[in-house]
Amino acid sequence: MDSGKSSKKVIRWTWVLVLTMTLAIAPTAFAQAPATIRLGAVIALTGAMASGGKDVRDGYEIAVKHINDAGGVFVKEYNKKIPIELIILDDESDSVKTTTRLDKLDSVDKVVCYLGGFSSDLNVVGMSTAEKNKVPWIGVTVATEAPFKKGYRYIFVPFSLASDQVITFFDFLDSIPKEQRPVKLGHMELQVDWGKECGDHIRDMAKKRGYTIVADQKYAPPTKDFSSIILDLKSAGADVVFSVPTPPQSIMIVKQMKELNYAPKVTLFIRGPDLSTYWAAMGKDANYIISDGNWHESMPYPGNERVVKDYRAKYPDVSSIGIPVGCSYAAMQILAKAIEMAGTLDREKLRNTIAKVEMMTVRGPIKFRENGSAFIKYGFRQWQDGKNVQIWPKEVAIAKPLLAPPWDKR
Amino acid sequence: MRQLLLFLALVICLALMPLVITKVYVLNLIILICLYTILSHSWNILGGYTGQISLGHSTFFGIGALIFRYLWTLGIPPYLALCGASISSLLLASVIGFPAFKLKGHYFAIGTLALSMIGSITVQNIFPGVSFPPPQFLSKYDLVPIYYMALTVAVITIGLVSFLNRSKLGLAFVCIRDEEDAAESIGINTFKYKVISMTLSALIAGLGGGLFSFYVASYYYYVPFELGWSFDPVLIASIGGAGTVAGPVLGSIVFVILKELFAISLGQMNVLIFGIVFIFTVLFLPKGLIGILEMIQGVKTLRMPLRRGHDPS
Amino acid sequence: MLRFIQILSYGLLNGALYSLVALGLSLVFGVMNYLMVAHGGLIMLAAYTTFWAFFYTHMDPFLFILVVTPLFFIIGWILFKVLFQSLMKFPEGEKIKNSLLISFGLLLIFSNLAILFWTADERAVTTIYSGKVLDVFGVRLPYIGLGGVAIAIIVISALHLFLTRTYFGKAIRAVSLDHEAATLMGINVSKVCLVAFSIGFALAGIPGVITSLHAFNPAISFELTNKALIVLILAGVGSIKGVLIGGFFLGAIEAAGVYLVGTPYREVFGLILFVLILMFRPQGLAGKRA
Repeated sequence: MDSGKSSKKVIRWTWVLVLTMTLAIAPTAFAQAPATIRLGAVIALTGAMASGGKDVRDGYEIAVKHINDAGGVFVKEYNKKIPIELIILDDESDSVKTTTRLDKLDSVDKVVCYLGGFSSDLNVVGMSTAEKNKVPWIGVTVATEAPFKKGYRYIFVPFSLASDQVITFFDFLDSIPKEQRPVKLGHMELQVDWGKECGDHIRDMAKKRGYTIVADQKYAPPTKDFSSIILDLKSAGADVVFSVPTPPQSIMIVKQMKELNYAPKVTLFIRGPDLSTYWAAMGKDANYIISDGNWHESMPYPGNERVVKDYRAKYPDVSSIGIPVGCSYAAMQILAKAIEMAGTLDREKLRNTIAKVEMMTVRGPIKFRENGSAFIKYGFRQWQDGKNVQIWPKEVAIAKPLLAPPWDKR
Repeated sequence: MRQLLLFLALVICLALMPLVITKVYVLNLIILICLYTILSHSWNILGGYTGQISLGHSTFFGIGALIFRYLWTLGIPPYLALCGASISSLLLASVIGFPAFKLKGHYFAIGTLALSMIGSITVQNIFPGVSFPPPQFLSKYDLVPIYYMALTVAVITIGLVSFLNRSKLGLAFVCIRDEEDAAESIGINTFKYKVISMTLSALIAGLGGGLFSFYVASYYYYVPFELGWSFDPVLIASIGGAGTVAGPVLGSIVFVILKELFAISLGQMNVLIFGIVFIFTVLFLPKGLIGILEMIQGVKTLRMPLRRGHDPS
Repeated sequence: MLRFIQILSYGLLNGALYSLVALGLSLVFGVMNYLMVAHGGLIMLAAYTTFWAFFYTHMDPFLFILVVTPLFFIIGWILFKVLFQSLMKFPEGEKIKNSLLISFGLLLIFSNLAILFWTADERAVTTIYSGKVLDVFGVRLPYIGLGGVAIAIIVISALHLFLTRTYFGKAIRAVSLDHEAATLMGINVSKVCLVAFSIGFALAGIPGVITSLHAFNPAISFELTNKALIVLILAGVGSIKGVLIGGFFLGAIEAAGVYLVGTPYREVFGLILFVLILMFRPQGLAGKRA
């Protein structure tokens, strides 16, 4: 009966083995759905870039609220809707902290995806951190083209590039009737990469598009006195001015233009005047200034009204809503759609899916290029009597562009 | 001797960390602490020991970062590039040192401040764009070599400063700090020693700059030249305890950890609360954080002896 | 030629503002050897206060100087009693070091309070006379800039008279020279320091008002402190007249810089000349040799 006893033993041990293995792998077979989809963003809430940082944060937060009000994002892998948990950390406008805190979001909080912060200066750091951590990154307010030439795979930027801005600028000028059209271009080049890229595009395209650059001046972010530059523009007879000044400079240049009695027909300052507080700072002197129009509260795209309503419920006194709000809202829309399309929270699969997303957002249609930049519709806003209205492109404009009269006739 | 053993034990623990810790974030924080230790000790040599309050260290830091990045992108291995970086800071310091030391006291401080402002504006104009790492670096990224470089440089720095703490060179520095005229009169060539101090200080700052460049993969060229890098080491070394070996280390630990804690939990108020905590620390610990160490251990040997004209501890 | 004079005029108008920015810092430093690096933060707060006064009451900024000055005097009084008084008993080296550290903490607190209350957006005050100029033979001089020059001259002269002609002013000067000797003379040194400190705060209000008429945000605290420090040393420690000269001088050099090396390097030109001047005249333009 020995063989019988030992075969019983074998069967018993095999059974124990099978049971143990089943118990061990069972939990993974019924993969538990995570309680939330964790997303992370490091944004400048203090320091030099804080003004735009809060707009970026507000856009994300409103988007998360809308998504979670509907129950969350449907993730096929778990067959249910999961709400989003967005962790936002301050980077104090410090590049070192951007990378450290993004690393925390990855290694400690294990976020599924990163969302960008504010300004090229800090976003460039965020983009390379995303690339090294192999976490997809979607962000706005990056205007410099340099990162897109580096073969990064994990970055997605549904926002305008310097080339978009310059091309649209010339399109806009072309639309002005010939008798009134300014053709003498005054260019003020800010010594940052974005400023130089714009400058290069302008110099390439001006002649072909029928415009002459009559003054081409350089200045740097710390510059506070523009008297020399303005006098040059004035004496060269430039009737349209293009630049990308910092927000303080966008105020000071205009004040000094008034003092030196220089009033070109078109003043296009892409950054600065789009801030909602520009009118409070400048008063009537802000009239006619044209600036960035990546997004506007009046845009007829689906979902936009709701964004504006919720924003104004939170900030009732704001005269015009800053562009990052709509743009960061759209970024979150794209991400949510990508998660839904991918059906999973796996970072690699998510990355591949974001690249294929083609959708309509609150700022219009978006489609990504291979290098992570996007095909978007770019436009301009103009200050008219206390309101920052969209004047270009014509499909979404709510007011006609106005040419500036001389200072004494205003 | 006991301190040396304790220190070695700590270093070994830190060196073994990457094998044990899975959360990369902890390594990150240690790298940051090392970075600030290096930078504040570099200031400490010139400011804490030699008494020349410099506000221009961001220039040495920045040049270190610039040259490191340049050599590294050329294909030179990181540790060699680091040497190159610190040598360039050293060269810059010897050029600046000669005219700079005609100035004394507050004039020297503001003169060096002006130099760092010149550096920062000039670099912004010449290099207005982004400094990218060598290609392939990001796809094969690994924090561990950066961690070990941080540890190595920090240990070298602390070693150098503790050597200074008990050497004749260090004694000369302290004499210049406490009573410069008396030092001259007993035959110490104060000018020569000030220049040595500045070059040592710049050497360390250059190493710090190289470490920064190795750690932060992409950044705008002007960032390591920003004035914050001049002010932070002064604050950290001072609040930790200037003129000591442990002071800047304690200061860096508190600075980094506290700021992280606040940033994670306090949102927009984090820097404000930090400022308030900072002021309270100064009011209640006027000798610096090192005062806590002294209270606990009753140890007074951490501080350089013979500080006439100052409160004898 | 006209262009050069126009640029130079702007430089001089800026220079007046520089003098005012450095004034309070210079006084406090002269008396107590405290480098009050939070001075830039005070100026920034004064600018915000002016902005909000203008926004709600439409009170003219220049008139508001009469409100801001006593207000900041009181704030200085309180802060000195609370924070700095306890430092007075420390030995010299620690006193200076700790006051510097506290000032820096205050600078952080001021800029972040500003962000919390008013957001970090760029602000400015634009009045009906913003942009209006006095045309002198083709050179356009903005009224606001001229106002700044007038105020700089008046305030600095007034301060100079106060320091030289009044008893308390002389007490302040005595304390600046030697604390111990002043005590022996019967001067209450701590009271003098308290008042001088508060005056320093009050003097931050004036450039704050003028700055509000240009453009400002919380981050200018640091820029203004740097500017104040440069002008302080350029002027020479202990000289109030020097501050006026130093400010205008710096403004003029920067204007020349624009003309000679272009706008991006304007500040660099000024700073290099500043360093060179220090090399050959280490006590500053009007300072007393140590």
